[in-house]
Amino acid sequence: MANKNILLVEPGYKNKYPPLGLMKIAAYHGPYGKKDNVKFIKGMTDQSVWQTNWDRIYITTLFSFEWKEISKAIDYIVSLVNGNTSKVFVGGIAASLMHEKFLAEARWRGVRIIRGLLSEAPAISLQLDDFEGELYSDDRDGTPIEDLVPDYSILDQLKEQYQYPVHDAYFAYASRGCIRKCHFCGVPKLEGDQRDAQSITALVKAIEARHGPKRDLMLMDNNVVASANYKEIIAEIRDLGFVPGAKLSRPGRSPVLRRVDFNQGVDARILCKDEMYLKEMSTICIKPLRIAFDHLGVKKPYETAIRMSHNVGLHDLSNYMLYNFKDTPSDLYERMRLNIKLNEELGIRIFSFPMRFQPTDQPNRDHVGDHWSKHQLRSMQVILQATHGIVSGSPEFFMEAFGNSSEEFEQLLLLPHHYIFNRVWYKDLDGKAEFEEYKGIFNTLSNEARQELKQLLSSTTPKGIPSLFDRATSQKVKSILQFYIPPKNEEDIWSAMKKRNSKNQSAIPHIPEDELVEDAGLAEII
Amino acid sequence: MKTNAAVSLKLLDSIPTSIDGEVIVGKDILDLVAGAMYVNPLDIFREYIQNAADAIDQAKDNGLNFEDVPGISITFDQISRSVTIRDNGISIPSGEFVRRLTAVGGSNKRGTTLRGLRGVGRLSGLGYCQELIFRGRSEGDVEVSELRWDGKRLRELLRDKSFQGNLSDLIRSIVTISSVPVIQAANLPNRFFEVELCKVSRLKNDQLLNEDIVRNYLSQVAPVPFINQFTYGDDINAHLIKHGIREPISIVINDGKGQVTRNIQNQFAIREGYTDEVKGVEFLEFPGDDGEVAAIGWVCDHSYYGALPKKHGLGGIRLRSGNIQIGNETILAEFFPESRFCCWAIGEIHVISKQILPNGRRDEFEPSNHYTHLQGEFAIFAKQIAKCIRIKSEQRNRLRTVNNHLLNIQEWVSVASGQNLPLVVNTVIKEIADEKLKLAHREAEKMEANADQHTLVKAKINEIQTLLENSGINHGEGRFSEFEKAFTAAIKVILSNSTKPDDGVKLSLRVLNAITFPSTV
Repeated sequence: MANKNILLVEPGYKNKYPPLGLMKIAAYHGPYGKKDNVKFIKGMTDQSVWQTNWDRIYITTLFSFEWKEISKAIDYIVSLVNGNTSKVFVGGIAASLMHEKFLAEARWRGVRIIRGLLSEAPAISLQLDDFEGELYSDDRDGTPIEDLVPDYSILDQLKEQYQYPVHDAYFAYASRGCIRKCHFCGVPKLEGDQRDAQSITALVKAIEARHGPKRDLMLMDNNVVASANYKEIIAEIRDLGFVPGAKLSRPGRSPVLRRVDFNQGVDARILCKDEMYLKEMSTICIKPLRIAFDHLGVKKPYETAIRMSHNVGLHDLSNYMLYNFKDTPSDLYERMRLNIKLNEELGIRIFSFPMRFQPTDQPNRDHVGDHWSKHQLRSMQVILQATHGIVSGSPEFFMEAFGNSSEEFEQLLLLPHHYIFNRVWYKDLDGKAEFEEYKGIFNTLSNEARQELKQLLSSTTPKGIPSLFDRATSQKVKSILQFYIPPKNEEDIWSAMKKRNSKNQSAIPHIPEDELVEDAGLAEII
Repeated sequence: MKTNAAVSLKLLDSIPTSIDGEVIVGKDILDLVAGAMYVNPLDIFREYIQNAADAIDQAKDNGLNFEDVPGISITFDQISRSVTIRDNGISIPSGEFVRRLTAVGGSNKRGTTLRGLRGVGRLSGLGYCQELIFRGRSEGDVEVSELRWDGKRLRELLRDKSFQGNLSDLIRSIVTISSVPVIQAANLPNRFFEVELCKVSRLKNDQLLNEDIVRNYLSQVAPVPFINQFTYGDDINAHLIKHGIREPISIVINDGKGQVTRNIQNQFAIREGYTDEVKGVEFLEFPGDDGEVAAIGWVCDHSYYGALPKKHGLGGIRLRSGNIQIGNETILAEFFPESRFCCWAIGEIHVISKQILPNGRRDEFEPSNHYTHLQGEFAIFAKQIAKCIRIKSEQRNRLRTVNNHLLNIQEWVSVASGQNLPLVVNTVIKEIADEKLKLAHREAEKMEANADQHTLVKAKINEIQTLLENSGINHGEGRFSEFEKAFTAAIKVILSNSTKPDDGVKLSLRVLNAITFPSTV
C-alpha cells in the first residue's frame, strides 16, 4: 500500500532540536519503510499542502507553554482535512504532559492525541482500528516507530525556511526514563522509570549508512549516570570514535572537532559518589559537561562533582539552574556565587544557565513561584537577555550584573528595568544623577514599603505603571514609582551606548548556538 | 398480434389467489435498517432520544414514581470511544426484553400518542459502532437485562457469500443476551433503560462522539426546554401544552454544560459581532382539511436582518411532530417566494393532526391529502413572512435615508455656525438644509406602518429642524441683486456637489474672493 500521502507538521514555534519523533515517523512511512510520500512542514507558511489529499497527518508538539502555536497548527490541519479528523494524529511532549487539555477540545474530536512514546507496534501505538480499515491498521507486530532510525532527509525539505541550531548530530538515547521523581520535571510522566535503551552503536551506524556521518553525538538521556551500564555506554561512545580531540573529516569540507553532549545534564548526586563517573566521562569528547544545580540543597554533591571534574581534566562545564520553583532569589544567588567561587579557585569557566520554572502542564509561561514576583522575574529576564541567558563566569562581570551579596541581588531585582538594561548609562554616565536620586529614596523605604512596591510593580505590565500611583498607600512608594516609568528617550540611550560599546568590546562570552540552552523564555513579556 | 395479446389475457379470466410458500426476508434488510435509514448520522441520537422520551411519557402516564427528575443522560467516553444514552422511563420488563429488542419493525406504539411508529430506529446505531448494547431494568425486575448486537460480526456476515441465512438467522448469529442479578449491579438505578454504542465510527469531526456537535443537534431536534432566560419560553410552552404537546424533557450531557436547551434566546447573534433581539412572539394555528386545527406554532418578531447562520442552529421555520423536529431548517423553504427567506425567520410549527404522520426517515411527512392541504396553509404563511421581511427591509432603508439627510443637515449647520460666512453662502446652505429636511419629512411619512419608529423619526426630524432654525443661518431672500442671485446659483452648484461641506465652503469662499478681488488671484 505504498505511495500514500503523509504530512508531518511541526508547529511554527522556535526550537533548537529537530523533531526526532517526526523523523522516526518519517522513517516508518518513507523510503526505508512503507515507501509513502512524506512531506514535512513547519508552521503554516507552505501553501502547497492544500493541493494534496493527505492520507495521514502527524503533528508534533513540544513545550506545553507553546499551547497557542500548537492550537493554531491543529486548527489549521483540521481545516486542511475538512474535518476528517480520523486522519490526524497529535503526539509529542505537550500532547503527553497536557493530554487531558488536548482531549477536552471538542473542536479536535476524532484527532488521535497520543500520550508518551510510540514504543509498541505501530498500529497499537497509533490506536489504529482494523475494523475501520484504517491505513496500516494491520501492522500489529512491526518494529515500534520509537525504535526506527530517524529519517534526517526530511530536514532538507525545510532548508529554505528553518535551520535547527542543532542538526549535524546523531540524536540518540543510551537510556530512558529517570530514577528520580522531581516535581518540576516532565520526565516521570513522559518516560517513566529508568531503563536502558537500544544500542547507540547500531543506531549511529545506521544513521551514517543512510544519511551520512554527523559531527556530534547528542545524547538526550535524562540521567545517564544512573544507568547500571554506564561504563559500557561510555565505552560504546569511545568505540564510536568520540574521544577527546576527535575530528570528523568529510569530503569537500574542512575537518571539524567532534563533541558529545548529554544535553539534559548529569546528576551531581551520583557523580560525587565515585570519581569513576567523571574519569569515564573524561575519556570522551564531552563538551560541555552539563551538571544540574537545581537548588541549594544539592550544594555539597554539586561542589564535589565540579571539583572532581576539574581533577579529571574536564574544564568545559555548563550548568542548569532552576529558579522560580521552591527557591528564593537568594538561593539562586548563592548558587551562582558558588560557581564564581569555583571558577576563581580552580581556574575554570562554568557557564550557568538559569532556567525559569514553569509547571509542565501550564499552557503559558505566566507561572510565578512562591518566593518570586513578576517584577523580579522580569528583572532576571532583562539581566539575562544581555548575555543570551548565560551567567557570566568572570567574577567582575558577575558582581556587576548580580550584585555583591544576596541582599544586593534582591535590591537589584527591584530596580526599574531600564536601569538594569542600561546599567552603564545610569551608573556612570548621563543617567547617574537620576539613579543617585532613586537610590536615595529607595534606601529610606521600610521593608513593608519595599514589599508594597514589589507587589504593585508585579501587578501590572510596564505600560500600566502610571496607573499604580493611585493604588500606592504611602507617599514614599508613590514618589519612587515615578522612576519606574520607562523613559521616552530610551532609544537615544541605546544608540549612545551602542557607539560606546563598539569601541570597547563587550564581555558577552561567545558560546555557539548549539551549546546554548534550548529555551530560557527570554524573548517574551511576562 | 397486438389485439391477440389483449384478448389472450382476457381469455384467462383467472381469479387472483394469495401466495403460499415461503416469503424471503433476506439478511440485507438489517443492513438497510442499521445504516441506510437516515441521511444524517446524528439522526441516530434523535431516534434514541425519541424512544427514551416515549418511555418517560409512558412511565408518567402509568403513574410510576420517579426517583430522580424524569430525563435522559448522554455520557460520552472519548477514551473508550463509547456513548451511552440512558433514561429513567418505563423501560422493558425482562420477560419481553429479548423479543422486543430483536424485532425488526412492528412497534407496539403505532396508533398511540407516542412518537415511535415503526420499530426500526433502535437499530440505527448499529451501522456506526462495533457493538450496540441495550441494557435495562423495569419496575420490579430482579435482574438487569442486557442484549448485545455485534456490529463487527454483522459486517462480516453481510459480506460473507457463504452465509445463506435469512434475517432471523442473521440476528441469531450476532445477538447475545445476558442478565445480571440486581445485587451485582448496585451502581445501576432501580429503573432505567440505556443504549450503549461501543467503539463508535470516526466520522467527520468525530461527530458522533463530539459533545458540541451533538448538543447543537439536539438543541434543535429534541423535545428540550427553552433556556430559562428566554422571556417568551413560558408563553410558548403554555400555547403548546394547550394543544396537547407534552412537556419538554430534560437531557443532560456529561460535557459540563448541563441541560440541553433550545437555541433561541432574547438576544441572538446574526453574524460575527452583530446581534438582534426577539421583540415578541406570534402564535399560529393552521386549520386542517377537516376543519380541525392541524398544526400550531409560533414565530419570533425580530428585525429580519438576513439569513441566520446555519451553525447557530436558530434560523428557519421548523416542523415538529411529537415535539421532535422533522427534516431540517429548510423544510419549508420551497413555500417561500424566495427560498432564502426561510432562514431569516425563527419559528416552529408542531403538526398535531393524527392524520399526518412523519415518514420513516423523519425528514418529511408521509404524502397524503391532509398534508397537501396543510402545505397550502404553510405557503400562505410563508408569503406573510416574506412580506414582513420586505416591509422591514424597506423601513430600514427609509430610516437610513432619513438619518443620512439629518446627518447631512447637522454637518452643514456645524460648518456654517463655526464661521462668519457671507450671506450668499449662508443662503445656499439654508436652501440645501431645507431641501434635505423636506426629503426627510417625505421619507418619514412613508414609515407610518411602524408607529413606534415613525414617532421616533418624527421627533428626531423636529429636533434637527429646531437646530437649523436656531443656528442663525439666514436666507437673504428678496435682498439680492440679479448679480447676487446668479452668483448664489453658482455657489449652490459648488456646495451641492461637495462631498464634504467644509471643502465646499472653502471653495465657495475662494470663488467669492476671486470675484471681489480679482487682482489677488
